[in-house]
Amino acid sequence: MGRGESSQKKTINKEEWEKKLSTIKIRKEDMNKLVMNFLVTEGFVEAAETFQKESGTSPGVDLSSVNDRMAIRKAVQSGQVEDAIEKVNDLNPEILEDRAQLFFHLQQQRLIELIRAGNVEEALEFAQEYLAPRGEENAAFLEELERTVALLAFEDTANSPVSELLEASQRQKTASELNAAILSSQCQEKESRLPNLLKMMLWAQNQLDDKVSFPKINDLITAKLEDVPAEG
Amino acid sequence: MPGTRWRDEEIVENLSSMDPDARLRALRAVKNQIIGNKTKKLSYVKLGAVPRIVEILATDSSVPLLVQSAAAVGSFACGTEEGVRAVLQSDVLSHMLKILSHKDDQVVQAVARSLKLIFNSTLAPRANMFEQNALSQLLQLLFSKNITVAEVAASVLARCCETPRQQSAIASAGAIPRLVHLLSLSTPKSQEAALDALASLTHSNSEISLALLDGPVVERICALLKDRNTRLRVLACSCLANMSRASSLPTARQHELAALALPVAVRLVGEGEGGFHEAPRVVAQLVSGNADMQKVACDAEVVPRLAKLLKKEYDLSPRLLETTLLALAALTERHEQSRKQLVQAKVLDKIVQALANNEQGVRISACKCCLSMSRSVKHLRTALVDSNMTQALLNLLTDGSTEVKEAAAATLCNMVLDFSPMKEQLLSSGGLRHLAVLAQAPQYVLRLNSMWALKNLLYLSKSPSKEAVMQSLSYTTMRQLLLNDVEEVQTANICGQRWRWLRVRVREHDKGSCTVQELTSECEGKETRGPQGLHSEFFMYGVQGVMRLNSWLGIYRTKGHSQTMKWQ
Repeated sequence: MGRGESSQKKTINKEEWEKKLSTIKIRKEDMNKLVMNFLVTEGFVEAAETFQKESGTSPGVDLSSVNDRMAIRKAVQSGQVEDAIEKVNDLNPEILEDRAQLFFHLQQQRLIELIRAGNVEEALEFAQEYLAPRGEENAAFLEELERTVALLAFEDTANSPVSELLEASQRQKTASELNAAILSSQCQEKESRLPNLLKMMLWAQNQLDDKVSFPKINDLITAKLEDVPAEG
Repeated sequence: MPGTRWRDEEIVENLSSMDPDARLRALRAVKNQIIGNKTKKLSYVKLGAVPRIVEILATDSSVPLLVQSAAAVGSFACGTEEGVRAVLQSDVLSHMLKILSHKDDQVVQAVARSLKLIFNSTLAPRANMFEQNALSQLLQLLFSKNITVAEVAASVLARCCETPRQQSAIASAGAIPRLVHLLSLSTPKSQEAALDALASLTHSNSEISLALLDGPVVERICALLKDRNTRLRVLACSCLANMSRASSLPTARQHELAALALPVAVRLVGEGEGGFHEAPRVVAQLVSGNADMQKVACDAEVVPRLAKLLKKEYDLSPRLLETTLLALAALTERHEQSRKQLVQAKVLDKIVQALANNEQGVRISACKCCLSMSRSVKHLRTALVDSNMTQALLNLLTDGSTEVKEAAAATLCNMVLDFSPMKEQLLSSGGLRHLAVLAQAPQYVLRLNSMWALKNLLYLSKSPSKEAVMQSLSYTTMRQLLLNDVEEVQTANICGQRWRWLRVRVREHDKGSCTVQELTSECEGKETRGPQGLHSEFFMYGVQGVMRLNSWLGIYRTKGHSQTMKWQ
């Protein structure tokens, strides 16, 4: 930016900005859809039901399946992987059928849970029966399997190089992958649209900030328009 | 089942237990073990689980047992050929069709889902769905109030559209208006199933395509080109591609639809989990035989996108590999810039590797790719030679599949043109002998392609090569070819050229039975008899043959256009 250019930066004051904002019409139905999308994707079933009654917005999916999805996610998060697998297969047997990677990660999580519970013998048996064949098919799976089995080699797993497998974040990772697969099987997006829109808004504000001083939104919770800094 | 872990054999035993609870537990155990697990499927197939499960489906009446057995059967039918075979051998289809009219929704849904999985396999007999009242039952499901059931029914119908007759049967049973209705719902899942069925119904079916083209549904499909859901965009492209190719002389509207779909299809290449295999197929469909569209697609940088797919073989399914190669073949068919892009993308070695793929479809598409590329003299003399394509194609001449041999022989036609450096490679590695063997194959196309390649190979070649061919082929076979293939000569003009020349050679071999004059007069004489078209062709080739013969005999050298590049 050349010298003196900053003083040419145009300023739009709050009043002018609000006037501009008010000329943009956003359909109420679109806003409602956005809210419903958030509630359904994040799994707020009761809120979605109430919102449907009050606004007449269709959730686009069977809300009972959202409950199932939440129960499945919770099962993985609490280490009940076998239970989660049974529930997914009851919900829709096709989900695990052709997602080799997800399937492997669920079996890996089962192995991790067995190791966590100290069932060494059962863990080895399980790894051999369910995971080894997948490793034979796929080099990346084999590597992950080896890393997981390495847990058995350490007495103090918490201080081992593979300790992260036992952390809550590992369960969370598996739960998210499964959740995304269920959503995709119902033709839904993995993430709700709202966060993306907010990201886009922040990006657009930054772009505009290079050229114009205007009342920005910095606090996303209150969406308050900041005061334009005084010139000078 | 913690604590009470059964062995697999015990589970199978329990499938036939007298106690319904034990049966249910065993069923659930099998189902949850085999879903997504090919090893377990195979081991349970070996243990004889499938007939026992089908037995439950056929005789039991409790809802959970029916639901679980249907789901297990569906899983067996998915992922392994052995599983599909075991399921089909158990005559499960007739039982499933019976239960489709069950009063419980859950049962109907589970059975319909399982049917869908069975029909995802190419091994499933489509004809069964058109016998007795199977189709009307499916239609009932399609009209079900339960939208999930309707969706699954649409998906099953989508897999039952292999022949124009099947497509017409489904259309005349009244499926289309219902599919159009499902398309208008706001649930993406039903839109997807409906679009899937519409894409299958319009595929290579001009009657259904043109009927839909006039309706308002086209607007809806066009709108879905912009949908956020990638799968819906792929299917919308596929529908529009079918409709735009439905007439031999496309209307302005059809051009417009193709032009709308192409950029969307191009962007979809490589998208989705592991990439949709339909996207490259749709691109191939939209551009094949149309140099303008090939240019548009090439400008949209589709070749590098497809090349990128080829490079990540890790999660490339055989089907995606096949359609990717098909798309590259279609794009490089007539457009030199696309060929240049393909060479620059450095994937020729991947294409050569694909020539040795386990899947027949992949090998055929790879051949088509090589054929398109070989039309560029420049690349034929440079990149293609360096790629070792010739040896890989030669290996395919002894392939187990006739279609692969046909495709390989067709590709070799261009590789052995006189200006091609591969000609020598082929001659020195025994290609002549293989081609000569294939020239005697019982299949017409294979015979045609191999003779064509031989003809190009022998052009301006030295006598030893000619002698070698005649030794492998023998004059007796040649005579038979000449006599028996006359019918086919009528339809394959190019073929005649060769037959005629060979005919002269046969006569020559017979010593004294035919002179140049005799042959010419014979051909002229033939022209006066019989159908006009055929015999003027005879005459033409007769004369060319004479010229060939003359050059052979060294009377005078003439550089006729006896070599022909393969375009089809």
